[in-house]
Amino acid sequence: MQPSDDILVKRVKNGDMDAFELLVRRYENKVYTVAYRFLGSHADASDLAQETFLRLYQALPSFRGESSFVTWLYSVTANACRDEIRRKQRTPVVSWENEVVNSGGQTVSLTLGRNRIPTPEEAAEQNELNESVQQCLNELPEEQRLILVMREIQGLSYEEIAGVLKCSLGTVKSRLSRARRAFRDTYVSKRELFGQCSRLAK
Amino acid sequence: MQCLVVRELLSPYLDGVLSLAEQKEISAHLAVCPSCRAEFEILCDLVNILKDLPELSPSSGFSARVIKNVAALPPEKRQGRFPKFLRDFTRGAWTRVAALAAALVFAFGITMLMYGMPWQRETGREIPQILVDQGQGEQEPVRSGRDQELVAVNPDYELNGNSGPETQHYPDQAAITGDGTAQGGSAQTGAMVGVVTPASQPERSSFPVGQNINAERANMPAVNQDNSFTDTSRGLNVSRVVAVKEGVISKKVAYGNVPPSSRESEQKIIQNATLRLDGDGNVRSELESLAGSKGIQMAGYTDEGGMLMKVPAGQYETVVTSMQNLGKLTIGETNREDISNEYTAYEVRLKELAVQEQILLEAIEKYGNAPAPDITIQLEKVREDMEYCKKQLLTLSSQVEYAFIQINLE
Repeated sequence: MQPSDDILVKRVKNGDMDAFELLVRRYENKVYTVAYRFLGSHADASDLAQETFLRLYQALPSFRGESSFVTWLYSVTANACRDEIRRKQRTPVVSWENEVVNSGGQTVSLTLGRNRIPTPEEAAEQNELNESVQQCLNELPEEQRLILVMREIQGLSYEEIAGVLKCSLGTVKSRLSRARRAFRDTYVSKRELFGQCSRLAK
Repeated sequence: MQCLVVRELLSPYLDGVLSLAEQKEISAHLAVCPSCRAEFEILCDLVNILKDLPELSPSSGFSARVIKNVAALPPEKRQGRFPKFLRDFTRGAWTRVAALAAALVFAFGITMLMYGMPWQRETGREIPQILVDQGQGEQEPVRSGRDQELVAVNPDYELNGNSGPETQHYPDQAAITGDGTAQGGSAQTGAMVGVVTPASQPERSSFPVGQNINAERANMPAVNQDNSFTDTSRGLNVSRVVAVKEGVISKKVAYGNVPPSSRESEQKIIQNATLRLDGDGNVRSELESLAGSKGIQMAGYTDEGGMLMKVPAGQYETVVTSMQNLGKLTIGETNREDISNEYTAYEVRLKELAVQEQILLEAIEKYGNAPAPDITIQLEKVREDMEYCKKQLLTLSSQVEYAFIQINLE
């Protein structure tokens, strides 16, 4: 049986690097996915995920277990994303790297939560959909992307989001509402542009 | 409830974070209003699409790299107890890295003083590659005599430019006419050109932010009129001078038709309120006559006979005060939201896009009549994004401009 998060955390606090590596392996997919959804590029996502775990390690002594480890990890991740926005605003650099999701090696457990294995056609269609969804995310302003990732990908509560963004619940409400609407607009216009078949069309 | 109000609340409704009363009200409305229901279904679908995105995994060796990075942390930033040999090893490595970094920074500084900033070198005829990190090694601090040549060709720019004594601009057109092969180093190195820093006068590259923006714009040559790939009908008027401050684009002189920096420092606040007014029978007509004055607009009526008013943001306090004279005023829900960050985010994005557009235009110009199709596609895309940002900015500023007040009458 795998040791629980709490036990691992305790062991890391006592200087056990193996325990830390176990934690990293346990959550690297989650952190990496969030970073990728937020940044839209594998190279950047890898850097940000590294940075997140580094921060996590440094902040571990201050983790007192008020929330579950996962929740705490998620807020550290979201904070790293938020700081990435700030960093970019300080040094506006330009990039139009348009990396396409590598549907072979990078996507895992496509069928997660579904009972049957999809046909190759279905898988291809799903990949295409995922790709266009990611492109829509990439086109949103970072602040909106961040709040969408926090809510829909990480599943953070409004309170947790307010904690990361240091704003009121009301603000989270209206920002999320706006971000969703912006995402909707982008998605709908993209669909019209390419005539992609999508679940929305059904 | 009005559709407009309902649409605003669909997102929190979906997450179940509204008050029970609101939640019920929206459910009731959705049951009878097909268009709001359709809107809600789209919202649900989109949220599900995002939730269903697959989990990804980083490339192999990710966790090993994390461990390596942790081990490379300086001892005081590291927590936990490491074996002594590990600590000694990393400390040694860190010192070496730090010494190397210091030496590199020093060398770079000296080179910069002697030769100018690295992006002022000349470049070949390539499709622009925008470098993510300006500190990257491939931008060697090489600087040919080209810049001095360009200055010599265009001596009058400093003379007639009224852009202040600290700056020296010239449009890229000048670079191109001045020397058929020189592209001013602009495209490949990321639109950093436009300010020439002669080696003997490095202090010229400092550029006071916000100085003389209008003067510079007025002085700007119209750049894209004869370019078949430029759609001037959109009102995009991107000028070609980019100022440089310590290697960072500090000011894009003009980007699209969005008002520039003057309002940047202002706070953007959206203000909404729900009030309850108990008064005699005349209240309604008095409110309506109030709405006729002070630039207030009636925005509609609620199902319960309440009124919606659109009030210029500056008038908000005054209007509430004058309502207090009409009867017993209870302030229900007020919502003040500072959207400055979001606004700035759009502005920053728009500036980035303007820089991209600039680079693409230069690339197109370079290729003359036969530009690579992917450049024009990229340009289209960039412009589309710019339009989107502008739209969002306009929406936000109109939301900021007016406060919505809902008045429920007894």
